[in-house]
Amino acid sequence: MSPYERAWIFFLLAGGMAASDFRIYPKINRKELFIYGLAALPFLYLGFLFMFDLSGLNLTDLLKLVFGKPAMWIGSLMKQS
Amino acid sequence: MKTTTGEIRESNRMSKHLEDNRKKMEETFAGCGDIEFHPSSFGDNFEYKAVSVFCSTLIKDKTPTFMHDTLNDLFRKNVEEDLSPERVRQFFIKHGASTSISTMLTRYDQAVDCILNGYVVIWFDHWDTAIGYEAFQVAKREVGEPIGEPSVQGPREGTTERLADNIGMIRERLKTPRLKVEYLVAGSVSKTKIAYMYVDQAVKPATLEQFRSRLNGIDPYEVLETSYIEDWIEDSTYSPFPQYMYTERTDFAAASLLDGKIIVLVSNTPMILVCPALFVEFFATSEDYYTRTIFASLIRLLRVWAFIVALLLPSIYIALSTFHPELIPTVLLLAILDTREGIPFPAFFEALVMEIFFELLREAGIRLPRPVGSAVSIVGALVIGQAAIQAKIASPMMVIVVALTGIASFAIPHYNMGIALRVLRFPLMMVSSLLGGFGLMIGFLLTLVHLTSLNTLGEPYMSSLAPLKLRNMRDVFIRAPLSYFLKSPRNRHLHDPRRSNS
Amino acid sequence: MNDKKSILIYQMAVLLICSTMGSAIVYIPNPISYVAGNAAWISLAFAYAFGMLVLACVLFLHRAYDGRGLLEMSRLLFGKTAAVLIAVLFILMLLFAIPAIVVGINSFFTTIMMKETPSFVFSFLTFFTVAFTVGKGLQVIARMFVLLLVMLIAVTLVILILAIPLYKVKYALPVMPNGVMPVLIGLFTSGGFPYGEIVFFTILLPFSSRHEEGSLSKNMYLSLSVTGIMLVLSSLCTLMVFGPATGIYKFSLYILASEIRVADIIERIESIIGIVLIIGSYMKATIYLFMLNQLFVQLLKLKNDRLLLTPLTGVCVLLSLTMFKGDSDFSQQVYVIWPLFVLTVGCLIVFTMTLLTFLRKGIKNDEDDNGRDPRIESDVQASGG
Repeated sequence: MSPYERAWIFFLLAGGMAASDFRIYPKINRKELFIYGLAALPFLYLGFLFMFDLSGLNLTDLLKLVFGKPAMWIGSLMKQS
Repeated sequence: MKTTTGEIRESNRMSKHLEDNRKKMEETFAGCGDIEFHPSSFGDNFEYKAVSVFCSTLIKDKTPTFMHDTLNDLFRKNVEEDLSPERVRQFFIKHGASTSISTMLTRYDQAVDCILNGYVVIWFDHWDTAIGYEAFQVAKREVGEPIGEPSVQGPREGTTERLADNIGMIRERLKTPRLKVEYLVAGSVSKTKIAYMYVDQAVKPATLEQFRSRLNGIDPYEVLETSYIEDWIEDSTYSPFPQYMYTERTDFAAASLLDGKIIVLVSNTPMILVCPALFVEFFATSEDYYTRTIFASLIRLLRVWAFIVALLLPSIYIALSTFHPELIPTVLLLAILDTREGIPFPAFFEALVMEIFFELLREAGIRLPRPVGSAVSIVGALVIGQAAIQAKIASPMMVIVVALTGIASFAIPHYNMGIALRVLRFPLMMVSSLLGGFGLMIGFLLTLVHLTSLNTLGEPYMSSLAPLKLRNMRDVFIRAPLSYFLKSPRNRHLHDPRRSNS
Repeated sequence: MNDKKSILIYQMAVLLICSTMGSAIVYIPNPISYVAGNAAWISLAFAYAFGMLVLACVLFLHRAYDGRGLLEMSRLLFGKTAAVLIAVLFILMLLFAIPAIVVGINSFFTTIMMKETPSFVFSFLTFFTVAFTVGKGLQVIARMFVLLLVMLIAVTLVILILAIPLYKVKYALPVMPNGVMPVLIGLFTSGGFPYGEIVFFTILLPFSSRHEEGSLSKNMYLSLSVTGIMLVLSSLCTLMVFGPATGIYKFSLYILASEIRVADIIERIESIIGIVLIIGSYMKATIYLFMLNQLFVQLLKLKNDRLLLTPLTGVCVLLSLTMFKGDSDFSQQVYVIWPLFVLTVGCLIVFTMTLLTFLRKGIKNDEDDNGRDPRIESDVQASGG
């Protein structure tokens, strides 16, 4: 899929999310807005990864960092059997 | 025009002079050609005047006798022949009126209300009070079999447009002082009389409270039919599913009252609103309780099946024929493919065209005059069905599917549940044509979420199914023998304080 | 407590079945029989025992802390900072689990049933339904899932019964040519998915109604047994049909259903398993998204608990589209790394909390006649439970 299509998909998703949160926006206060903005950051980051089909740092990479070695060991055990 | 209430009351009070009263009435009813003023005189030399005012279109023909009856009273009870307005006044204040139902009226707005409710109002000279006699008679429909809910076995008594008659018919079935009737009037122009009934100790107190609080403030609302009230008090106006039931049968209304429901009656319409109505109750009719257990249970299951067919059959057909042909048994699949050969449209479009034609037929059929009706239905079936197949617009399989769907939606006893299905069928068809079985499942799940989250007068709409209460299932998909649930009070579980709403 | 959020005991038990059995029923026993071969069902039986142990700890904590949630319990035990850390770890776990469930649906449909549809369609629609359901509240979720679970179990049992002519009992005999190690690895995998995920119920248990008769523990054990029996049964049946080849086909129940042929009419009914998969995964994803949302609400003390629902769903959608780089990556992540994650983080935390609470209760037993820590008791009244 070309980046244009992916951008379309991403903005469709963002538009859907904004539409479903439509009612919350007028009543939001500062603290909630701040938290909402913070939650939107990973969304934007992942959207960026998605649009340009990059394999940047993702949750699975984090997990591999921590559990990579034991996983390889167990994998090798699996292959033996 | 801002005046204080006191002033209004003052200007509303009748005057002692007959002429003033008469003039006031003539002003109020200027232009109302059917309001009649009958002057009369009484006394030894006919020197005392009186006038009767009434609406000729609303009352019985015996009007001229009211004045006569009134004076007859006086003659009978009074030994002295000295008849004067003072005497008349004293008499009525002491004894009240006798023969016909009457009220004493002291204000103009009361008099106007009475006249418009079919009373004959009589004013006497030198007296600031008028007497109103009830004389209401307007032609109304006879009690007959309810058209929308016929039955083979069971009473055929349907409600009429007279509120008092309807309440009377229901009272006749439940002879208990625990059957409460409460009246209210709505609308400043229509002044419709609304009554709601419930059986004390059968109805859930919380539900009654909810109902009352929602009915508050309906006064300015011009209520012309029971469905106006449904619109006013329902939980979710935009949901396709009805949250209250309608009935024209008095036995159904009585049974609902015993089950702890509140029924609402509005004058000038036979439809009774039963609230709250749960989803599972839309599959029951009163006739289920009059036929044998096994048969009634099977018919209930048939209705549930009809519901599933009416809602899902076109979508399932589209999904299977387009996306999952392997699920159809091979022989049938070959037959379907054979018939679908040469059809230029995809299955969804075909289904849509046929469904819309069917809806058109149904809508037109409501307004067809009876002589033409049967001819058109035959023509519609043959021409549209057969011709469409031969013109290769639709395949025979699709015609069968659409016809089955239509028939199934008629098998559901309550009309407003049937229309919910008609509405929901199209989005489900659309989503199953886009994504096959997956789309259908998503549509089904969304519908289920909506149904489960719907509330009716504070109770979960899918009660008995979700939250699952196995004890109530004896009257949902099967009809257990009557001895299991006919003791009073029925549905004791509704009042069990431990069973909380979850 | 009869407010908007409490659900009945049997509904809580049903939610347990939904979240453990929901999506597992379609995948099991493939990942386990990949290593353990014919002995997969033994691994699953042991995993069930492990699951009972985890459930026992979770229920013990629920009772000991008078129905508090994970965050409050860890605050009381470990202090504020550690509680935040634990919450973050659980959030990361859930943020992995939810997209993984939906990626399972995606891969099923894009590889088997609807090959031409791009996977974002399935992600979008599934997450839309899931978020819509979570937004309606826990009571609606609980009510609905009872019905859906009945459907799920009914369809699964029908499939298993219809496949009876295909069973060859000799395949079920655990041969174990390579010793006990494969069984242990199988135990490890199934300990992570699905039994290890019971630790998430520390977040959900506070929502069960307090003033109800009947025992929560009994019902929960019963429902876990239902899951255990269904999974063992399903794996046994699959093994009996395919034998050693079970480890190859990715969606075991699906492949089993495709083999059913009854009287020329009932054949190729495997598409119905697509329905089972959707329902099961949808239920699991809904419950987990609800838990994730609740964690955030409790962590950030939000008043509006639907505030973060949409952003979280959006993040999960994008994760499901970007997280896994392919099928083998998915398998490795879900069947090796995830069990590691759940067992070493989730289960370890819960076991530690259980142990500490048990020891504490033993030490402070003379404080209160009821055996309850009075500090906890007063906190309950302060926070309103």
